[in-house]
Amino acid sequence: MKRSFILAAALIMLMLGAMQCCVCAAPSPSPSSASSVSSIAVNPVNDYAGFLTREQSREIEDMLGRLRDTYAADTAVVTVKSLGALSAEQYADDYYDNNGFGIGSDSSGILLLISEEPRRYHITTCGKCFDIFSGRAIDYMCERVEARLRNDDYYGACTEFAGICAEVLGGYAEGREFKPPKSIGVLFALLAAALILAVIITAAARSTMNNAKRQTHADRYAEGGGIKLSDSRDIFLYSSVTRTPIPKQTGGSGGHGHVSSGGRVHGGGGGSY
Amino acid sequence: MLKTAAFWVLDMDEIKSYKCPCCGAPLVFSGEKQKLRCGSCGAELEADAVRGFAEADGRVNGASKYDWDTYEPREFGRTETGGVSAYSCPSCGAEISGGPEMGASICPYCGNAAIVKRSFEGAYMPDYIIPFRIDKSSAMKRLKENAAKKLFIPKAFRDETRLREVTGMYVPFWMFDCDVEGEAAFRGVRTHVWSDSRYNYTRTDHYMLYRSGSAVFRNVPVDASQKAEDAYMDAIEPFDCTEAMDFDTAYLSGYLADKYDVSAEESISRANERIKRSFADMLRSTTAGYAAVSAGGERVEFSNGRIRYALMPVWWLNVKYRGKMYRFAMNGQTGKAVGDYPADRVKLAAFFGCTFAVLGAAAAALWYFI
Repeated sequence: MKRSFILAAALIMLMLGAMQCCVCAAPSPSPSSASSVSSIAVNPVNDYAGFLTREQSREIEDMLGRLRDTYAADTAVVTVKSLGALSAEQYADDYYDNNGFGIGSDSSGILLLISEEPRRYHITTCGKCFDIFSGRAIDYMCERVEARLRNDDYYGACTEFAGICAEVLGGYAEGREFKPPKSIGVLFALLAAALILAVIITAAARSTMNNAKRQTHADRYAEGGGIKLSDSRDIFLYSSVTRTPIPKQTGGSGGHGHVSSGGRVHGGGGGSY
Repeated sequence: MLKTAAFWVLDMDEIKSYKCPCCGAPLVFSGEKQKLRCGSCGAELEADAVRGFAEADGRVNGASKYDWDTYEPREFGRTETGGVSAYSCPSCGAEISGGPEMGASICPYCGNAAIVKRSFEGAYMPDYIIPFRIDKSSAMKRLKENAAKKLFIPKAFRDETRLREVTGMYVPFWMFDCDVEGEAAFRGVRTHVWSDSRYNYTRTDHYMLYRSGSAVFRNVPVDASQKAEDAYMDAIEPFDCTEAMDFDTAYLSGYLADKYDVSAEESISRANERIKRSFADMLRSTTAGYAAVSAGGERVEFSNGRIRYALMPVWWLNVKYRGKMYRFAMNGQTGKAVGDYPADRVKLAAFFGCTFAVLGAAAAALWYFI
């Protein structure tokens, strides 16, 4: 009896240990404190800043979990109250590297970091997600997420992130390159420019119907081919030098990667809201 | 500490201070750099450059001089006016003359068909005349061809009935001859661009370009009739004055002739303006090699200015279309025709529609593929 009780207790402990490893390897809010093991499912939503309700967190977890299961790429969201001394990019990279995110030997995945103070966000990509999430995809994702964050709609930002991740990963699985949806506003702006240009061209063509114009010059009445120069001097006065900073490349994992402090190559983009 | 002192130059017993060519603030001499420095904009200049700039700037901003002889009108003699008839238009008030065989004529200025014959008076004898070389049938043909080339011309307007009433008339002009000497200053810039790992740099070198020269202008025409609009008479230029003849009333045979009602003195300002502008542009054309050139003042001196009175051949056509009078003029020597043609609204709308369709399709394609 005593023997079978010890066996049962050992079995329960073993099962609990396995569950802890497989289901909820909980990361730490500090980007550098925890060690990691790749390919172990990590909680995809870590709301340290408390932006989300329990129901919202659960819903986003479900969405991101399905992506992980379907496409073998980690997708995660983390919110923090501050970044400490790090930039949003460094924080996101370190958090990703040090908390066990990423699937496969190249630790493929994508993570959205949202900071409360300063109001910044960053999307970091790694492994094959570095290639899957092209510059255009990251730019589009930043645009949509930032629009939600500006209105303090954190839940909306997370669902936008999850939705675009699903779209990009789904397209990649089907062999399609992600193309951001066309903006109707841009089409109307182009058509308005075409309309204005058509009006200008028509007005110019109409003006040719009147060719009685006043002359302002008398060049054709100058004898001997025009002017005879008697003096010509080019006097150097002064020089002025201006300098403008070369714009830094922002966003986009397509070819604009960087190496994190953990030694991994990351891509992505972000900004402030 | 930077030692500075006001920059003064003793020049012909006169003490001068110099201003910055960039912003106009006073320049101060920096003993350390041996240059003049502007305390306002920070520009640094060599003393020779400042002196050259100030000298040229003073010259080109001096007053221009326009020397014209006074025109003395010549009266017609009795024998010269014997074959000339005078007419007046009761509609527009034009006072015109013509050969004795002129029958019923149409006023070339307003198209009125009932001009009135009256006694010849008040006209002065022109110095020379350029006879008509384009006859009436050629003039009509050219005007029709010219109208047909216009993109939006209404079909009804091209009907022969509308384009048949052309009238040949000599239009009075003042002809200006003069020699011009002058100078102009321009501001020229050259740019040089380079980069390092953090910044793009642009160095802009500023220059003053001083030019002086001379030119001879002959037979610059200014029309001397108020009713002959300047735009029309300017647009049918040039007239070839090598074909000019001494005036004889025989050239009026079969044609009308207007007399001047804008005096030579009143026309001088237009001649001055055209000649001066051309002269300045000729000087400017010698400033190649700069990224941008802007005018910095010019001064001209006219000499040997001579004014003559001449009659130039012009074919006139007035066409009433949909309640509006359209006027056309043609150089009776060269056949160059000008005018204000009516535009067909349907053709205009179709042109606009096609243009917008093409541009709109291009815009939509751009939006779709990019």
